[in-house]
Amino acid sequence: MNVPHPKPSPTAVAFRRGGGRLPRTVHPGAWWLWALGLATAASRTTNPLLLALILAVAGFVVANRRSDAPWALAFRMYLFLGLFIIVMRVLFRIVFGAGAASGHVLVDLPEIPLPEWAAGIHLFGPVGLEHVLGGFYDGLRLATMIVCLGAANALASPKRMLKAVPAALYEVGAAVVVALSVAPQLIESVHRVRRARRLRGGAQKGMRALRSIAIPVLQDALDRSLALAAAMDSRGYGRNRHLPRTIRLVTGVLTLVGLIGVCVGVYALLDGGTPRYLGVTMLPGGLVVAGIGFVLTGRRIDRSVYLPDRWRLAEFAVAVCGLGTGALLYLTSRIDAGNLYPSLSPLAWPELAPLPVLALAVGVLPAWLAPPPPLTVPRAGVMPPAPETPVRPTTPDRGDGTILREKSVR
Amino acid sequence: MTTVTDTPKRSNAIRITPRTAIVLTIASIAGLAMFLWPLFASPSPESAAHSGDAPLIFAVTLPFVVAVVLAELTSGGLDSKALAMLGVLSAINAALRPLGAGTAGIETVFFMLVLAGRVFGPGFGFVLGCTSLFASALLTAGVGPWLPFQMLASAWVGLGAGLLPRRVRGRREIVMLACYGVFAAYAFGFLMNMWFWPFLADSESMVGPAFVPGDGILDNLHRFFVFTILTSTFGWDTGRAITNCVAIALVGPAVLAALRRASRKAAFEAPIVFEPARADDGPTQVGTATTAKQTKLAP
Amino acid sequence: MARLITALALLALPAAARLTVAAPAAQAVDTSKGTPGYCPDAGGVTIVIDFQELGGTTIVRCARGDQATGHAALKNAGIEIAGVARWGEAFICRIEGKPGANSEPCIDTPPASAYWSYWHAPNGGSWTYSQWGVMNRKPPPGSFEGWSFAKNKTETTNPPPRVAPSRPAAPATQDPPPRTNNPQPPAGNGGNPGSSGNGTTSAASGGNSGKTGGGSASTVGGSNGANGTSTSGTDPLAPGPGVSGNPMEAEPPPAAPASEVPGTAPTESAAPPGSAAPSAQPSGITPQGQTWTGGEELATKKREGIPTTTIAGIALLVAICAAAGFTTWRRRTRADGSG
Repeated sequence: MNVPHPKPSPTAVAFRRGGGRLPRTVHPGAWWLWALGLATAASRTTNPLLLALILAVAGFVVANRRSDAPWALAFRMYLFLGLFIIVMRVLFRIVFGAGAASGHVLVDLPEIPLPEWAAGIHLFGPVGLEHVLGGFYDGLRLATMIVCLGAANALASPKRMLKAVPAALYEVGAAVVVALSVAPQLIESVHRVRRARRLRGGAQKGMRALRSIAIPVLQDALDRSLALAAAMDSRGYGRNRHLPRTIRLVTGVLTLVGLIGVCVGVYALLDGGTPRYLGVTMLPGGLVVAGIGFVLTGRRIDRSVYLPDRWRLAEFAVAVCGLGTGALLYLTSRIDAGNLYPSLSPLAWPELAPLPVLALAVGVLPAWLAPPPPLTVPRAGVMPPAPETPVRPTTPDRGDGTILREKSVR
Repeated sequence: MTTVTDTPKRSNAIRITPRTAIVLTIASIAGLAMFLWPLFASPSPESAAHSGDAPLIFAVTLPFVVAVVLAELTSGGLDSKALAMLGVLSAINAALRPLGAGTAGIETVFFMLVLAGRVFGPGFGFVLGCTSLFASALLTAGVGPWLPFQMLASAWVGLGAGLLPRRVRGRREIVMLACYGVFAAYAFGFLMNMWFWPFLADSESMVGPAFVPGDGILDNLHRFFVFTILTSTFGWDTGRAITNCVAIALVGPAVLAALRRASRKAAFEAPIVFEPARADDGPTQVGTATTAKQTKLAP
Repeated sequence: MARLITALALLALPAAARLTVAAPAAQAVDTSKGTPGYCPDAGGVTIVIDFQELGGTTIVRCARGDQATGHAALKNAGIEIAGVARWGEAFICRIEGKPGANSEPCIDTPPASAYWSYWHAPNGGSWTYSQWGVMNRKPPPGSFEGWSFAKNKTETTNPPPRVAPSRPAAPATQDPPPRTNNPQPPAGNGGNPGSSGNGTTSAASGGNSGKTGGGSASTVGGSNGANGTSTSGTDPLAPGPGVSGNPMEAEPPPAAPASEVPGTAPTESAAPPGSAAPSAQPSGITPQGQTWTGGEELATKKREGIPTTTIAGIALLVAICAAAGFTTWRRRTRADGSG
């Protein structure tokens, strides 16, 4: 008798694909550092070839290392957003680029001057290739940075990010965790109230229906929140370590001084009259001082984290790769920046130098260095066919005539 | 039992001490500067050369500022009722957001934010604005450079709703809240447009609604308004304002009543008093254990 | 997602296709345009480029014929320039490849501590720091356009080009007029469209008077074959530039902040038409001892076609996109198969 080979479990599949490593989630901070490194690298250049390669690298790593959760599919949205920004930039240059055409002229549109009250803007006019390309380069740079952030979104689990919230923001983080858990319950509550209304024969439509659904749901939710609060209290939530008055005073002073430093730094950054060193020192300095106050504030919280995400070798590798990409491109901009900014006048082909390519190679390494993501187990209901039955998979049938077809959660 | 005509007591789920108020003010000034910098950027070449960097620097700095302010607001300890209320209302806001049809669905978030800020106080409104936007961003994986700015802007909306005069009740209260909702919609749209303006139209062309640093505030403002009209964002702001107004007018009284009832039940500001255990309290206590009793103040 | 990335790549193709026509050249003087040395007569505009601290011999070239703007004059003299990514060539950031990309990326306007200042002078006059941008002013025929790199200088100490703006044929000796650089960089190249519009009409009259003067000078210019050692004497055209100079000075210089926007280039056409017999001066030394060349030695060979690194980069890009697309497709089919 033919015994069909049993299908391997998804964990085994992932194990084999991951090169012999057990699948696990990577600390979200590592992915964010990697993405920020890539975004910094993208901000150092306007070379469209280099930027497109950074986009491809980000897409490759996401394709290889994203999990199956729904939020991981949001990467597509970021690509659309990037495309939108590029298109808008190019359109703006075409529509508002009157008089800027020099060099190759793509198409000669008539120029339309707007009246004086519209700030004397001239629309259209001859469209210059260099001008449009300038807008394209600019838009591509911004789009690449946003897509890198989108890659971080797709790779870093938001729930694990909340676990890693610093102590000073612990309560706010807990509130967000409550929100994330309650939101699905709310939807279910809305369904329940709608069903009850239909049973009672309520037939109002529109705004009145909204009121008769929304208000019970709201009251239900608020009552549930008070029950949740009672439960948290009974489990000992809210233990505060008593901080002596001096520490509280010191944290207050540090916070205030830090924020004032940030204000001064922002002003110095925007106003060219003040010397450069003022802006460069005050802004980070203010942030550091406020950060110290922030950390000290967190000391009043005494908490323990269940199964904290640890920074292991893979996390370090991922973070170092991303930061290395940014650092290498910054180095390139210091020593051999010719290819990073392809000239538009005269028009020149964008070229690639070996150092940026090395930077990209470093940036793509997390696709292999990071452990494979844990894939969701397919729901029960679809089992590999039993050895005696024919190979055609059967779909289990629910009693009420609906055929239940399960798909693995993606 | 209290009657409706009693002077309404300020119910502050999150109290704002003078120190917190100062921190909030300074951080708001810094945040406002990071929003409105295109109007004030100086013409000198040193800063003009870096006005391309300014949006990126601010996108990294503002989350720190928001985190510091939130830490300061909750530094007195956030009790569990306020936390649970915060969580649930953020969930409601986050669930409402996809229902809106326009700019990322912000319309429907605001009316709930305004009403909650009105009932629970300015501190709660500020934190609620931050957490609602953050929770909805996490739910829809929309964390991006715009998020800290959206968080701060909606936090200001919640803060402002809490600072409205308390003694107004009844229909006049609804009218006042609806007007504030309209104003908040336009203000939020103005701020987010101002943030997005240098990204979209950064030095787009020689003449045009590009932001030109150093051209004088009025000139840049003029350009900005032309940009707003040309890109029809004004229409979306008006849509948001109308949604706010209609929602507050229709659902406002019922929602306000539900929120006030919850606030009364929660009794946020009831002081906690430890009393020695009484003899007839039952065999649960051992030794001289004390029981905590909350004395409910008349709301 | 793979489809999206290929779509993005496809979007870039039309733009890339257009680039096939352009053959990029390195830092070089285009010897097919303009002539080396001073203009022999008032029929063209003389361009003087003084690198100052950047290093490099001063370049003097002549853009023959009527020049619509200072920008056109630069280009027609064969000088290689690069603008900023932000304003395009309305703000000149690199001349003949200097300053290099390592010190100035030319994305945004360069700082006031290191930028190319723009000067102009009538023949035999003195250098004036230009109040208008390179695209907003028409150089009168026979005049001089100067570019001098200002490094760590203040507004009052901007160095003019060290070459006297007088054609060797003209006997008059005058101090080199300070070349007006582009006004503080953000204000570069910008006049209010309104004020420049006035300039156009008044400068046109100046141009006409210059035209009549140009015809008489052709004979004088033709006899000048000296290496610049001859002092510049009185210029028969001196009244001409003087007349044409007035309309230009009469225009109110736009306030620096207001000229932030490089205006729609309403150019004052001032270059007189007509050119005399060219006298090519490949190099020389000015009476003040400044060495100059006509830039001939800088000419390089032009590369044809697409550079190999670009092709390699495009191939790499396509490979990575294909790999990512393949991975996504495989995951989807595997998920579908097991679901």
